[in-house]
Amino acid sequence: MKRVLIVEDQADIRKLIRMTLEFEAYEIHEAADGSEGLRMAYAVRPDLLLLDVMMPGELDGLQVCQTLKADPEMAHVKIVLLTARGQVRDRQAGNLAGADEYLVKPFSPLQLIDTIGRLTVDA
Amino acid sequence: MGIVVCFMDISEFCEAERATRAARDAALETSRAKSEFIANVSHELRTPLQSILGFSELGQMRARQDARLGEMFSDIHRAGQRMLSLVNDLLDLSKIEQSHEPLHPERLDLRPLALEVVNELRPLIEARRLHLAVRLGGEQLVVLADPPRLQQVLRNVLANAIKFSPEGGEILLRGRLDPEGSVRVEVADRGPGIPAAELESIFEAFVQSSATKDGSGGTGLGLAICRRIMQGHDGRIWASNRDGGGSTFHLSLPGARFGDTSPASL
Repeated sequence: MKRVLIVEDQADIRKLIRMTLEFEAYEIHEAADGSEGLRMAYAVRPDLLLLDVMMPGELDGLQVCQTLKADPEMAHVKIVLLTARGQVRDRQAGNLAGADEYLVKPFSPLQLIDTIGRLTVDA
Repeated sequence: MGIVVCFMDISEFCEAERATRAARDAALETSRAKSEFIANVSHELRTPLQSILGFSELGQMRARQDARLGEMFSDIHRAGQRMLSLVNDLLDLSKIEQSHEPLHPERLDLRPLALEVVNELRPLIEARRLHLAVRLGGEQLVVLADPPRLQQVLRNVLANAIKFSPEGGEILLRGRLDPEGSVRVEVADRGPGIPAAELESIFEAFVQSSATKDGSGGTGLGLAICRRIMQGHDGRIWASNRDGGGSTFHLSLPGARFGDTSPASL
C-alpha cells in the first residue's frame, strides 16, 4: 500500500484530505507543521507528500520540499505542494524547490485523487 | 594660455538626489506591502473556502442515495463557488486599481487574440445553440495592448453576450478601424438589453443591470474590471441598446502601427 504523508497546519483540511482518500488504498499519516513533517518524512518514508506551503513555525513547505529533494535518499518522494497562493511567482518558487505538482487551494477532492493516482502509479 | 579651474558646491544636488531616491524606495516599499497584503487576504479567504468546497463536493458524491441531502450539498458547493469567483474578481480588481501588476503592452494585431477567445467560448456558444458572426475584416487591427488583459475584456464581454442571449439567438463580433484611426470592437446580442438609465452604472463595481440581475450568476465586478483595463490602455468601453432589441458593447483603443517609432506611453 502506498504511503501518503499530509503536512498541513489546518486540521479541517487534513481531515478533508483524509476523508477524500479514505476509500482509496493509501496508508495515511499526518503532521501539523514543517518541522514535524520533515521528521515524519524520515520516520514514515512516504511515497508521496502533500505539503502545505504557508505554515507557521520554523520551516515552511518550500523549505521542507527543498530539504527532501536535496537529500538523495529522499529525492524520489513525490511532493505535491498545496497553496492558496497561485500567482506565477509562487509557482516558480514551487518549481525551484523541486515540487512534482502544485495544487492551488481550493482544490477539488476529485482533482486531488487524480493527482495522487497519477504520481504514485509509476513510483 | 591659462587654466580656468571651477569649483562648485554640489552637496545640494547630492542631497536632492538622496531625497528622490528615498521617496522612490518608500513608494516601492508601500506597493510591495500592499501586494503582500492582497496575497495574504487571498490566502485567508481561500483556506476556509477549501473546506466549504471540498466537503460539499465529497458530500455530493456520497449522498447519492438521498436526493434531498445531495441537493443541500450542491447548494453549498454552488454558493462556495460563487464566493470564490467573488474573491478572485475582488483581488483582480484591487491588483489593477493599485497597479501591482502593471500592464505589459505589446504591439499586436487584435484579430488573432479575439479569435482565440472565440474558440475558447465555442463550447458555451454551441451548448446554447447560438450563432456567432465574426466580422474582423481583412486588415490588421494593430493596437498597443497587454495580451492577457485585452483577452480578459473580450472574454468578459462575449461571455455576457452568450449568457444573456435567448437560446438560438445571434451574436455579432465586429472589429474595424474607424476614420479617426482608433480600433473599434463591437459585441452585439439580442438579449434583454439594458435599461437606458443603467447604461453607465453597470460599469461600477457590484452594479448589475436590473434586466438580468436575477440568475445572471455574475459577481457584478466583471465590467468594472473591464473598464479599469480599458482605461489602463487609454481606451474606452461603453454599452448601448440596439434597434430591435439587445445590447452592444463597444471597445475603442488607440490604433497603432507595426514599426511605429514612438512607443505610446502606457
